[in-house]
Amino acid sequence: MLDKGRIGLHQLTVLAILFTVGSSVLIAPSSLAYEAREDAWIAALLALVVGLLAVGLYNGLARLFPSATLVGMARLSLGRWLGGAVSWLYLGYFFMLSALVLRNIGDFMTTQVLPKTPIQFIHIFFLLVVVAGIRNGLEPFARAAEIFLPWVMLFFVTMVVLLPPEFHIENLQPVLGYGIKPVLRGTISLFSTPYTEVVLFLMIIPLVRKRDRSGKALLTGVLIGGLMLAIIALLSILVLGADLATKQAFPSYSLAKKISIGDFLERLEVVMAGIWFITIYFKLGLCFYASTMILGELTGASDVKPFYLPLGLSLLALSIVIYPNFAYFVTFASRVDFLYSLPFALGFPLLFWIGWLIRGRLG
Amino acid sequence: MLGTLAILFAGAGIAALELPALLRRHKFKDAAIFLSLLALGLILAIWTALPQELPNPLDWIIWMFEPWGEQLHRILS
Repeated sequence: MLDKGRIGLHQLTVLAILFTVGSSVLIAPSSLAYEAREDAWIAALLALVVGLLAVGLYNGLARLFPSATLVGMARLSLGRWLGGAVSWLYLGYFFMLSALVLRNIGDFMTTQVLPKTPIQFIHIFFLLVVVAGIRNGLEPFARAAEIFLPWVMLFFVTMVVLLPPEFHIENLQPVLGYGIKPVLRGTISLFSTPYTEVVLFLMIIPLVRKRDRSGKALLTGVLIGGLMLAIIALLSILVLGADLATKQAFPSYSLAKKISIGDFLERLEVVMAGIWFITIYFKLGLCFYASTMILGELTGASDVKPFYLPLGLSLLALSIVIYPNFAYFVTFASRVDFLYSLPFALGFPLLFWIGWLIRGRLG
Repeated sequence: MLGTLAILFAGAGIAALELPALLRRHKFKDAAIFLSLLALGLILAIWTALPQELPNPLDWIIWMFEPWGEQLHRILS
């Protein structure tokens, strides 16, 4: 195996939580509120249920192909050439995802926190830290995740505990006032980011010690992360209302701005932005890691460590051109992302399953 | 111009950091992959500094999937 590191079950759960919360905590509430209005939180819970079903599929696959990564699975079930072609597509998918996630943090920083800094510099510095973290393999990265997770939880709980004075329960009404279709649209938008991307963990599971129990660990991680997303969606609606949450690009940031306790605890939003730096850092790290590992396995390299920096150059270029403006990203996220992610999240994994069955039949 | 120089400088720095170890351990295949990745990265990064815009792969994906996405959206509205 290309990566000699091993991670524990607990570390897998931690990575899954950080990955699921990832960049979605920043961008998801807005599109959820746009599609599902007052029912954003119902859509978030529904998407979580569908996401957990997808995780069940990946866990089943991981059991069929013990110790094989995505590339190995594709090659074993579809043959060397077709499997290789599918693996190249996955490489493209994860690399594009890395560029999108990097761009999310760049957009957030240049619109909300550092408006006069060129976006390239934010990307360069963020990516340098990511490369420094992931260069030595998954094991140290997962240990870092364990250290940072309590901080994410602390900030998250702080937000949940300090916001109730701003709640407007009437913002939640009417429940299902527009029927089920808007809720389904919201479900689709949240399912396409982040739940379809969880397929990335097929690259991680082979490194887990006690692999027979990895399924439950992954499921727990996605469940906790998904509940955090649903809570953020609920808070955005409760505090801002569906209208305001729709009009903000980053509703959770506006949410943090609302925290105000006795004219003393004020302006906590940049502290809260700390959560997102951490979760986006780990999501980007995992996406970049998966792309690089797939590339290493496809090219038959003996070590991927030297590839991160040169690939980072391409990633920087891609993250700059990947969308010309925010409206373009909204089109992509609401109309294209779901159908584009579906083959990677469900299509190919099902194909691997069928390929495994046919191979078994033929002996 | 300054941007291009800075990118080339960064490329040289990356090569100086990674290449000697690869060559010392006679990993010539890894070195070849590394150099092709570096060349690709430098071309793309310099391209973004040029007035001519780099083609965006997301454009092709949107072109491929948007009609179906619209269809799905219409069914659900």
